Amino acid sequence: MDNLTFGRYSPYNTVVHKLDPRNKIFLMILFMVGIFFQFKLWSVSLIMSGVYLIILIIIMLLSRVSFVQLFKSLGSMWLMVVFLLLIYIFIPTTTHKIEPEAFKIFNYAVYWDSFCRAGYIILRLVMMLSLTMILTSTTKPMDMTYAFEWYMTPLKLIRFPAHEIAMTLSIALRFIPTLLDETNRIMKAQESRGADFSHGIGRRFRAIISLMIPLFVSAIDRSEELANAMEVRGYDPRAKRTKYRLLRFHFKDLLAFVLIGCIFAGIITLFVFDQQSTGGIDILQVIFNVKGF
Amino acid sequence: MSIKVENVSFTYSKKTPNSYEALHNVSLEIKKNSITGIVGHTGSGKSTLVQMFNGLLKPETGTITVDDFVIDSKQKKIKNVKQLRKHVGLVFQFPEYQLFDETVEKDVSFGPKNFGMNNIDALNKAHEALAMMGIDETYYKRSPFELSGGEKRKVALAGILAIDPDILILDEPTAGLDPKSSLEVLTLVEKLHEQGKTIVIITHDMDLLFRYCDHVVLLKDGNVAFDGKPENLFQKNIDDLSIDVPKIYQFLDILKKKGLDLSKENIRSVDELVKVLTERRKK
Repeated sequence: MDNLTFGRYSPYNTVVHKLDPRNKIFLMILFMVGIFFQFKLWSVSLIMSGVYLIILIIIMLLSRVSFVQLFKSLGSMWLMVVFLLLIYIFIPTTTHKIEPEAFKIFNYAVYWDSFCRAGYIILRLVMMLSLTMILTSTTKPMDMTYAFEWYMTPLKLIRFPAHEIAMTLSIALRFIPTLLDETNRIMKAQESRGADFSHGIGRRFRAIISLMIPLFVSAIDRSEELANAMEVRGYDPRAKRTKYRLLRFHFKDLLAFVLIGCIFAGIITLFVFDQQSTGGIDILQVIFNVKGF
Repeated sequence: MSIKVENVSFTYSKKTPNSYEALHNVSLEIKKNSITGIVGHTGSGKSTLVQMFNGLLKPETGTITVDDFVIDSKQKKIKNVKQLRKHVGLVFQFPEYQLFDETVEKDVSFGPKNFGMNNIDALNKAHEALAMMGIDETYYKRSPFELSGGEKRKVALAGILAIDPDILILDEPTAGLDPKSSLEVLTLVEKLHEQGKTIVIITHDMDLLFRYCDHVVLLKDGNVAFDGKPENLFQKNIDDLSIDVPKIYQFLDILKKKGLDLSKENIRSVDELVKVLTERRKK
């Protein structure tokens, strides 16, 4: 059950926790976009990834997100790693940034380049994962939906059901822990009846069915009950309402905004230069006077 | 000896800000062929304790001995978990939520099949268990989802009975049941007890406790606050333990104050009281 708790809100009281959720979401998207810029030279991409990683680690330390949890969730990514590697090995490319062959399988040349490309993608995915983890484990689910609603307010002009979507989202988020507890409970109940969730494909399959069906049944029951309860209380999605928790933009939000914004601006500038120059910009050459690859 | 708990502690979500100590150095013993009631507030550790009896949770410190099985906190994995679960049947609260199969008989035979029975034997066992619960043949091929609440509960209980455990643990077996169904369930529990099974009931219902149990364990904030006979529990000053005194016990207490001392008669229910009183009148 441990990997299911990935990114669950952890109630610390750090600076990152106190930031405005709207700000956090925006900055996270900025950061993600930055991560996905690809430069012409390998060395530059690597250096930039190193910079992102350092920033990420600093933020993770600041927000007290557990590294153990992140690594645990990485354990389940091995299948994807293998898949990516296979794709990069078997898709024939003529341009290899890193030339030497690694080894040959039945006269089929496997290049180091394929490994590098796969590794780079994984690295970026890991960074994305840790970013979302920082967001979800430092922001209360409710605050997150308020932030989403705030971002969707302009869409209300074209009759986009922003409030309804925010409500649906908040209900969904609200029930994740409940459903997790339920899963846990049903699993234990079926284990008491001898269901085996860890050995043998056939047994596992049967055990999982014995978990899924009651889970669906109870989720549907619950949603019906909730809908009835809302209706009884006269819930009207179109009614004008005030908020109990107001989102406020503080000075530290401005600070975070400026900081990440500057980093992002730097990345963009670098990227634009990189795209305009013919061979790509070479940081190693500029700073250390060593030729990059 | 049936179940022996020694110095057991347990903490949920250890090393996180949500960490919560459910049990603190608990020691107790549940005798063979007894009906033991476990009482206490929500969050007092009842369910946690009970889940250790069949190896769903492993104690953090201490040892639990269930007949031949030893669950030690120092072991990495509990040995013979499967046999342990066959030996100790645990019925969770609202067991009707664990029904899943197409038909009632298939659902009930899920347990025996998991413990290695073939289809025919498992179905026979299921029919036996369903008969014990008073569910007749017309129900066997029906979907468990179209039954009423009480019937669902009985089918779910049959699902555990079909495993034929020697120790049966019930977590609030009567919660949310109508009086008739709950009486039926309890009568069955009594019958199983007479057949030689050891029963553990988690309950909030003090009348039920007083009527059926011969041993009570009261948990408070993860500690054992009381361990002994039910009548002794109610004699104690229990205001600080915040327990309701059973109505029949209150009535006997009033009778005693008015000059009729029936404490030697070991009366546990209204029926028994009526019987004793009519006998006395005849004398």
